[in-house]
Amino acid sequence: MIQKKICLLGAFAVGKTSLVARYVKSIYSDQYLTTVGVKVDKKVISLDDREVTLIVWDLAGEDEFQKVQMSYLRGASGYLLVADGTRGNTLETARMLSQRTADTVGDIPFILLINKLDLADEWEVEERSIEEFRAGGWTVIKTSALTGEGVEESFTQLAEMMVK
Amino acid sequence: MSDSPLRIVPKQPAEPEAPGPDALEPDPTAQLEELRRLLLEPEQSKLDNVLERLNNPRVRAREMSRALPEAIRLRTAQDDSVTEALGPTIVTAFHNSIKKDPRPVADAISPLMGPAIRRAISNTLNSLIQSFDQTIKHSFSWRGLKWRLEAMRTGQSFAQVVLYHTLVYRVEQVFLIHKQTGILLQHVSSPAVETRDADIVSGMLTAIQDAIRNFASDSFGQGDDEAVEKLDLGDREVWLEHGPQAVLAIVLTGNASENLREEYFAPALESIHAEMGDLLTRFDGDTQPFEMARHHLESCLQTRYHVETDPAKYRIPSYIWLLCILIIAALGVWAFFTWRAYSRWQDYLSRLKTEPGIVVTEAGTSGRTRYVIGLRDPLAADPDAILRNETEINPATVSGRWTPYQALDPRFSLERARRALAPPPGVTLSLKAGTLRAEGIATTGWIEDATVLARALPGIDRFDASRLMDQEADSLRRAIEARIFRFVTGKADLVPGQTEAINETLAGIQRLLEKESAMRRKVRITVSGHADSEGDDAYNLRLSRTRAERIASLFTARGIAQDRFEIRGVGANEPLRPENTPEDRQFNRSVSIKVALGERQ
Repeated sequence: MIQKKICLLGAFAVGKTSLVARYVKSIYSDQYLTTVGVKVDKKVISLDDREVTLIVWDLAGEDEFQKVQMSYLRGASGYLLVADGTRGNTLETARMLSQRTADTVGDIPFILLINKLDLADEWEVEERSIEEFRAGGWTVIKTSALTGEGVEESFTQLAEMMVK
Repeated sequence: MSDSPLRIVPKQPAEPEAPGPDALEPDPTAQLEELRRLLLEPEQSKLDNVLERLNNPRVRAREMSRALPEAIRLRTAQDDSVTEALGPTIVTAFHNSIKKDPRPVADAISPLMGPAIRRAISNTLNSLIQSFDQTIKHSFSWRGLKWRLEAMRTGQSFAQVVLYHTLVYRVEQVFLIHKQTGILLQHVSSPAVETRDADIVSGMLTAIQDAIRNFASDSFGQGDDEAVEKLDLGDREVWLEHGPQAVLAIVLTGNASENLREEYFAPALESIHAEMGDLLTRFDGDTQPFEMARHHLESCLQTRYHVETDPAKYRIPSYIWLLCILIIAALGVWAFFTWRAYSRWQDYLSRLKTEPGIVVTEAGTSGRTRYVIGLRDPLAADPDAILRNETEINPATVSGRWTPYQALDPRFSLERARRALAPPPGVTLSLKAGTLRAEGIATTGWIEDATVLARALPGIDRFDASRLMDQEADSLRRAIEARIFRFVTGKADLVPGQTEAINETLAGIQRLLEKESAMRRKVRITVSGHADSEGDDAYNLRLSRTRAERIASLFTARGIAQDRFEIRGVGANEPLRPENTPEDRQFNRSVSIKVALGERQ
């Protein structure tokens, strides 16, 4: 059985936790995020008839008062970087977090998720900047915690990138 | 093989060996052949050699056997194609081999499997026996009873309560965690321990250690590499044993001694590193190989109970013994009384069955009372009286329901006849083979009534009244027979003064004859004449007969038929009294009368 540690990273209130809430097996409450700074969940996905268990470390969001505790990234095989489509600056935070992650654990697979696709009308993030990220070699997926769009796909794609 | 053409020359056939007509004139073909042979001899030889190596399978196999191991090594280093190519063949071969004879494989793996299986079984048995032992030990003691109450009150099982009170410590779960990733490599738990998603717990445990380390570092300036060794969670503790690549997290309850680390946990982790160091270093998420570490983890599942030093505490207390004896004694007494009551009841039923006029049709027990149902002749003995007087059964516990009937037992028929006929004091009744016989003296009226009534009684076919005497007839007879009529010595003349007696006798006879038809008996009167013993016999006989005839003539003269009388003269042969005095002789000079009543018609 293959098990992989992955992390969920992103700015404060980008909807990381609600993005995965419906898709992972969880035994701990969200309170762990504010107390310990991390909450560990589990997600089993099927990849070419092979089961891969993702141990999902949901890290507390980054803001001006709290930095992501980078030690939690240790041993991760990949990560999901979450930004909020309605808040342009969260994309910058994502870029910065990605840089810090690379500094800490080296180049590991990751996917940038731009969340809140259901509020597409209010998006500040423009297609052009998304294309810039893609041009830089990033994988970008638009997601919605509300409709679940893109969520399963993100996990599966990240798993593929890690197992490859 | 020779490379030198010089050495080929002596091999040429000598000329005398090849004589022939053409020998002197060289054939051009042969010459060409000869030339080719001379030129290509070494190459030809090599070529032959190569051809043989190619064509001879034995040689080829020898060649390949030299190259094969190296070839496999080289290719395996390159990619997995050898493994992939051989995989199915090996699986099939293995399969076939087992199918043909599984013994070699079994022999080969048994040294590996044997100890593992033995260890697994003995671990399971040990923990079972231990908890069973604890439960048994405490089942009978006073404290055990207290714990049982506690178990009932709290809804836990008795075994759990015993465990709670006697446990020093118990290792509930052991996690083997990959240090770098926090991924759970292997996990074991004690029997009946609830385990939630161990792989999530493993991750969180790692995260929390990180958090604590960060906190310690931020607060006290401790180094980042200081390891967390213990998490105290009230009635549970999590002990962490750190190795270079992996961490053992041990969840235990109770108060465990630190020795456990030295004794079990550290050695287990060391063994895992020693055996699987390479796997740990190259760990890429595949947890399958760490199944091999399971027995090391199981060796950490230690449990310890309070060891009672006072064996008296485990001895069954004397009051329990006393209680047992009392219970057994009570059971014995109960059994005895039950048996006695049963046997008394059976005796009573047998007694009833032998009693004439009582038929038991059903008997049994209903609740605390017994009942008996049957038929009873009103003349039969009273079952309640038998119960009261002949048994020791409490009459209040028995109910009887008796339906009256008439038994045809002769005793009952006779008794019924007695009650129905009410015979006067002088009459006795007896019953034999359906015939009721009455004997004695009764009034004509009673005799008439009884004759009619008796035949209507059940169990009586015939009424025999032949031995019944009519009361009046009997007294008449007595009166008549009581008299004698005296005669003058030597003559057939009545002594004077007997007229009244003669008249009374005559009246009696007449009355008897009147009753003859009512009595349905023939009356017969014998008149016997007597003489005293003086004088000669012949004379006396004559005289006595004349005397009898004299009396009979008195009666016939008064209207009684002659044929009613039998007249006899007995002389001195039947004296009425022994003759000792002159009075006795006078008494014997007389006539006596006997009355006989014939058979009832």
